[in-house]
Amino acid sequence: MPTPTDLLQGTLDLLILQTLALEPMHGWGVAQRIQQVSKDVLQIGQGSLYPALYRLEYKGWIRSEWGSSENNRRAKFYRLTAAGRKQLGAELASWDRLSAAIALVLGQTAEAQS
Amino acid sequence: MIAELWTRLRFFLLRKKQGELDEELQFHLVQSIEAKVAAGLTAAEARRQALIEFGGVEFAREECARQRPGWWIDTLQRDIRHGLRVFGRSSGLMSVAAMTLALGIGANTAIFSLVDGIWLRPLPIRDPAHLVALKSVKNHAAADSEGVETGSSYPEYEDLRASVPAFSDVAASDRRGFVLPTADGLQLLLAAVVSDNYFTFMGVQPELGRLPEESELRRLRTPIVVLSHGTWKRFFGGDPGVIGRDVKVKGGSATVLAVLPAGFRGTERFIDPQIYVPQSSWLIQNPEEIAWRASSRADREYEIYARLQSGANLSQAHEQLQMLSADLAAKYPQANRDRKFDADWQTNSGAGGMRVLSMLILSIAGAVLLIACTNIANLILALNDSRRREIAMRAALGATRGMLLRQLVTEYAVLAAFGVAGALLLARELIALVPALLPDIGYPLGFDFRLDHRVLAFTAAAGMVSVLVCGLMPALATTRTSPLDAMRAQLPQHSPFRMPMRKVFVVAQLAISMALLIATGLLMRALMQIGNMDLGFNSRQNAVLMGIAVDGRGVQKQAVFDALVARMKALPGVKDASVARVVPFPDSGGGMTQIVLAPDEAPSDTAGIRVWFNAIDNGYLRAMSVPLALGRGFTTEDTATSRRVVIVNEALAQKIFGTAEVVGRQLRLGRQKTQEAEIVGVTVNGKYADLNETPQPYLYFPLSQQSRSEVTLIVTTTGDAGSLLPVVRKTLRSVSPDTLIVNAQTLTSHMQLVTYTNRMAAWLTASLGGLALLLTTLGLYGITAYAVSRRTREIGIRMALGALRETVFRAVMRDGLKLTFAGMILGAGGAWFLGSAMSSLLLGVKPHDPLTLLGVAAVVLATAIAALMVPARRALHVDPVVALREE
Repeated sequence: MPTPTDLLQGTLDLLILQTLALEPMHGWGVAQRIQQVSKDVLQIGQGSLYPALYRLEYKGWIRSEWGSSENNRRAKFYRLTAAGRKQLGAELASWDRLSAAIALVLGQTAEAQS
Repeated sequence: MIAELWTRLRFFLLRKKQGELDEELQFHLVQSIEAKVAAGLTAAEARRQALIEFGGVEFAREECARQRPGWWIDTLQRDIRHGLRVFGRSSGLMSVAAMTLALGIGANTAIFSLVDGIWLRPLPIRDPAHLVALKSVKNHAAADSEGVETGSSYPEYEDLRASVPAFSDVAASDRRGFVLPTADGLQLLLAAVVSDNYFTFMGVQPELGRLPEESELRRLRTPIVVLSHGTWKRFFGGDPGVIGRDVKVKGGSATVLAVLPAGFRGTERFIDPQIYVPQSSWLIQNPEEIAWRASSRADREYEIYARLQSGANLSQAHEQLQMLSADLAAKYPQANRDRKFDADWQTNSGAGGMRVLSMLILSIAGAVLLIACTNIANLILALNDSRRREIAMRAALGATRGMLLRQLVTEYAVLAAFGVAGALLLARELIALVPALLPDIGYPLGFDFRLDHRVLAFTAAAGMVSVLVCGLMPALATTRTSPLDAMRAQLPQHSPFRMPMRKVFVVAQLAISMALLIATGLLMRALMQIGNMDLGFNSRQNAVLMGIAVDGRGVQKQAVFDALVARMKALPGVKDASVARVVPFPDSGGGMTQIVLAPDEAPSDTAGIRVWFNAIDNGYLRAMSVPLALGRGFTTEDTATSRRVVIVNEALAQKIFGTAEVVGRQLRLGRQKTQEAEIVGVTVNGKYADLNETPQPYLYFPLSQQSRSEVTLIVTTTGDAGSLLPVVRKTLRSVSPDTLIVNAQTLTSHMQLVTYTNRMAAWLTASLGGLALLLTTLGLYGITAYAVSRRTREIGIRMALGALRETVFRAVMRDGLKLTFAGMILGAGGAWFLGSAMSSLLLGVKPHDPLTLLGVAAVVLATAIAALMVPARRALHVDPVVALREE
């Protein structure tokens, strides 16, 4: 199982932005959502999650505010900003280009091997 | 984009509260536990697993902090604050270290600015990179008194310009005297007579007026001059209306056409020409030179500079010069046989010796800085030993070695910052001091020393190097120990006495400072000796010396001299006045010489001896207090038409006649056509050219029987000579407005110039020696403190076993004193060599002068003991219980 540090540089940022694009969420929620959607393949520990959230916030792509959670605890919710939405679009596009390129390379190698 | 910047700025200014993250993490943990409870674990087990999964929070905390834009500024601030605290905690030592660094870097900065000003800084002219200097070189075998390397003559300049295609252009300049009438009477200026293309060649833009092209200068019927910035300020009051004004010059008038910008000196590195005269204008003023200039190929007075054609290289130029030299040698065998032209980059030519000297001084200064840094590094190493626990604690709390290094190096960067600041202040003072240290040669010197961006860059580099040496070295050593060892206060495993390199280093430093201080002592003794030396005249009286040039025929000149002396004597406070060709120690060695034959010697090409002479009026011997041993001085009876008379000194009398009783005898003058003169008096011997000389033969002629235009007016006073100077100048103007003042100074400053080298040598060795001693003290302290800190345990055991405190104290002192004595003995030996090498400056003071040796030894020993006392006293206060518990 890959740990988040094995993720491609910037991929965690993309995952978080994508997750937050659906609805504002607190840190725990983001981690849970990524884990669920990836069927437990991607587990993100607090050691990488919070630095990434802070980084995105400092870049102005997400914004945080205190609110209360489902079970009425005080929690900090993160929300995508307009700049974040634009960034997400750009990153998705570049991710598509990258994965297509990787697929090409891998496909070629697979053909050469067969 | 703007929004993003704004966000960054906002977060930069408003930091996140520390608690927010903790609360967020807490929430995360609680959620995790609840999720596990919901999955069916017991509360305790859920909590346990969640905590394990969660891991340490410090990493996340640190990482989150690092995400903030500009987080490193915080870290830097923290490190600097910490550095300042460390600084404050051992402020005494750190101040000494900072001061040492300031001295080391400051000396380097000042010296670099000198070397840069003299040598390295590119000339302020167009395209200095392609400038080559040309010289005429005579074949060694054929070399004679003319010298091996010379400038070139004007006809040669024209040949060079015409027949070397590798040069895009060639310019020539010559130094001449130029008499300028000013409000303050006639002034002798240092003029550069330059080829007509000179200003175009240099690419200089005038500050005022305009600089005409070569063709225009050639067509001019009336001469023009171009003023240097300094001359414009000094003699024309910086008046912008000076352009177009006519100034009176020899044989007519010349028009001021332009003022050059400040700092322009053409290709001169050492002097600052005061006025520039294009060649064609010079010839209009001095028509007698036209014929001579065109024909005289061997009159090599011009310095020639050329600029390489783009695309041409130096070796092409060499080939073409070779061909030209061969051509000229064939065409003009008399002037050009065995001669060839040589070209080299302007930056490599000229004052080669000066360049070597500059580089030598710069490397010595660099070595001093390195020694300073090494000593400070040793000191810091000793200090760090006591901080080992603090550092170990930090390491144990998770600081990586990189972080520790960064923090330690920042501390020394703080130290270096203080050092650099002090260095710049010091360098500014030193540079301001330099003009006062340069000899007064009567012309403006062209040195331009300043703290510019080049010097600042150098200082920054020196500071950086010193941080690396002072900071990184000890930091690496300190952080090398494992936290565990350090917590147990265990020092790295090597015995306290295995520091041979450091010991050798300290001994060498001691030896160097000892040697330099002895040299200083010897030079000071020699300077004191000059004060008591019998120079054969009174060099300590207050007198004004004024070099003047008087126009006219013999009788007229004599009348001017007499009138001058009479008027000066009438001035209030004036004791005596006299006119003589020179005073002792003229700029040109001993002055002019006269051949004297022995009574029975036959006239021939090589007969006789050369004797320095002076031409004096009747009052000279009295005014300068030159004692007569026998006979009389000159009187009004000795005139241009009376029989020829001379006064000799005892050395000359002994040499020619074998006795001092020579009054009334005839002296034979000249080599082939001899002339006789009656000796009327004998003076005692004096010093005439050099403080170090053995008694030299000397001769006085009456001024009335010699025709001299350039003489020295001597006015002695009971009051202050400096304030008499302007009075003498004014009186001179009123007696003879046409008289040119070549130079004016007091006897005291004239004698200062005589002892210039001695004083500079004393000053240099004193400052270097003082600096060396300071560094040595620090070095000795550092090494001893280090040794004591390493031996704390051993000392504790000794004390526990009953050793007396005195014994411990003595043991520490003994180790240091051993090094001190070794250094002192070596230093005394070194001083003996140094003393022999500079014996010419020592004026008979012996290199083993016991008083100096003892005095310096006492100073060095006292300093060393003071440096040793501090760590030795620390050893005294080692508490055996604490020392052993630390085990």
